[in-house]
Amino acid sequence: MSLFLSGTWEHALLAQVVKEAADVAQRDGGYLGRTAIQKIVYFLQVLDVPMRYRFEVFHYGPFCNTILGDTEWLMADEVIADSSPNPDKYSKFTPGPACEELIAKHAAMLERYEGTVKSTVKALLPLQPDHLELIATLDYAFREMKATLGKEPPKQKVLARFREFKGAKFNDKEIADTYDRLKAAGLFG
Amino acid sequence: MKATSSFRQPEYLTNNDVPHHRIRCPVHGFIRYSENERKIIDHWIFRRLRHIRQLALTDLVYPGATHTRFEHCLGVMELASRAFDQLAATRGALLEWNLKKVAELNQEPLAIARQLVRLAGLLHDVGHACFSHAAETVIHEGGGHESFTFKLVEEKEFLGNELDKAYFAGFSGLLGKLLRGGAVMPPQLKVLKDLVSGEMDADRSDYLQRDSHHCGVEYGRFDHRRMVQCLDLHEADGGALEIALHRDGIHTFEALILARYQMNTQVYYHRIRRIYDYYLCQYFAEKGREAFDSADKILNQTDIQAMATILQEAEKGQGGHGKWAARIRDRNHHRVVHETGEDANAMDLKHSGKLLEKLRENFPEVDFIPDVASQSIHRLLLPEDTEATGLVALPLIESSGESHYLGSRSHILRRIPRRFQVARIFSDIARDNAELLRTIRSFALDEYRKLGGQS
Repeated sequence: MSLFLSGTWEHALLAQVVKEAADVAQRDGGYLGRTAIQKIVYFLQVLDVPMRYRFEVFHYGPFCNTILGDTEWLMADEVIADSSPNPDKYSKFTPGPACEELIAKHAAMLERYEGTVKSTVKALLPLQPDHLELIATLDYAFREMKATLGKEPPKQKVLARFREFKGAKFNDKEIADTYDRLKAAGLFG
Repeated sequence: MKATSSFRQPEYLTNNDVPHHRIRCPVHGFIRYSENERKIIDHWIFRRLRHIRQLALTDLVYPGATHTRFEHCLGVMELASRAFDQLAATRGALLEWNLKKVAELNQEPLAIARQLVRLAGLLHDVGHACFSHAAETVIHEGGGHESFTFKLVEEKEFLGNELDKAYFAGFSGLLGKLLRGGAVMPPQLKVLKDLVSGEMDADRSDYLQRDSHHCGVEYGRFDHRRMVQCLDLHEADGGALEIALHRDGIHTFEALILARYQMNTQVYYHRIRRIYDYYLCQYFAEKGREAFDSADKILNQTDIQAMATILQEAEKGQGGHGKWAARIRDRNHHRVVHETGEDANAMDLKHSGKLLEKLRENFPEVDFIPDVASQSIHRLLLPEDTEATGLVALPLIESSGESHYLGSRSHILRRIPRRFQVARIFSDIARDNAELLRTIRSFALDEYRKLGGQS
């Protein structure tokens, strides 16, 4: 294979996430779809992995249009493949024949963030898309409120902001319990 | 009964914020700035932008394109200020109410916000390294020039200390949040961010016109003064404010999007410009990461220093990075043998990849270089969209106060592709070997059609 695309750092990072997800899926089940790849990359950015992707909250939570475009490019270049039996309904990204070639081009930098990518994919891949949407949006709401108030925001303010984003899609108990679990896990540092 | 005025005119924060200085801009006329801003403009980190060209080696195609990031940044500061002042004059009360919710803006919200917008415009590109975007992926490994901009603005040892001294403690952090956007930015600042870099922003308004002016083309011109006059605010569901456009501005907005499309096709992604970007990337990549592995090393390289080194190394002859240097000095470039349409899709890219393999098999003595140029032109929601995620429903305000999303009222926007994307294959064929060039182009055309591609 010879890569046609330039193979930026972000492309290599996506390829690494897909490769890692394939390993985790084989061991623990789950699959990497369109929502999961967005949320995993969102949390990688929260965890200080450098990238030029910019996330905004849309209907399904934090989302970056460029990632959507880049996955299409990577498929065209056979770096990744969509193995879903019904790709119109959902995607299932798996490594393609050119995956290793692209990863090799950025091996040194990928190695620096290998641990973060591994642990993030391992933690998030088994979650359902709805749950990923819930935790990523809660995280986004927390960070926004913290930036507005200049200090750690009260739980009620974060939940109110979450409601502005999501309306009635999730019930109050589900949101509050998830908030508590994320806080206990130290994600709202 | 007396009507309540929405008009606001922000005070200057201190006497040092009164714009006593002025500088002549070839596009916007005189740009005024304050003593506090002068300290930033004259700071060595910003001053280096005087020696970083806006369009890298585009002067090899358009000889006039030798202008710098320095004048662009001043232009963005000026246009962002004009847009802010327009909103303060027409919707000041609403803007003030919104901004007061941010802890740091609770006192003097409009005065601080105006200064933030000006500095965001001035410093939005301060992280650019030599040759601007051209070799960015090699020089700024990871986060690009934007991440480096955040570092320079926020960290004390760079501009952070100067900014905090000039304005107030924490100003650099607040400016950093505004530049970063996303979850770390208070949502009330989104209107300010959108004035600097949004769907109808000062950044694009400036570079389209400035680059047109210096390249000597007309593609980037549109009536930006009209657009500023038509800026408005809209209260979305939940009370958040967003930038909107008055109905009267719809045609100038369409002209902005068309300008963006044509400048991308005719200037920014011109085939010859692209191949020289490639040479710059290869040149720096082969020199090794150590040339740019610290902030100081990036800051100490401008186009002038880098070009002096390129010319010296071109003298040393072929091999390693010297061969790329020689190509740049001699304007000796690869030639296009395959090019898709300007709205190439994933299939076109895939076919181009297969064609590259065939070319390499059939002409093993020729060096082929693949390239994909891709740029978003707009991301406005249109009536035919079935999925709104990732798209912007830019509000359009009628004189009656009623609002629609702009995409639903513009027939022209529906005809302009959202993305400019073209795949090309370049080949290393000497100028005097026209016969081989013709043979390869003809082969490429036939093979591409056989693969199912459309040229």
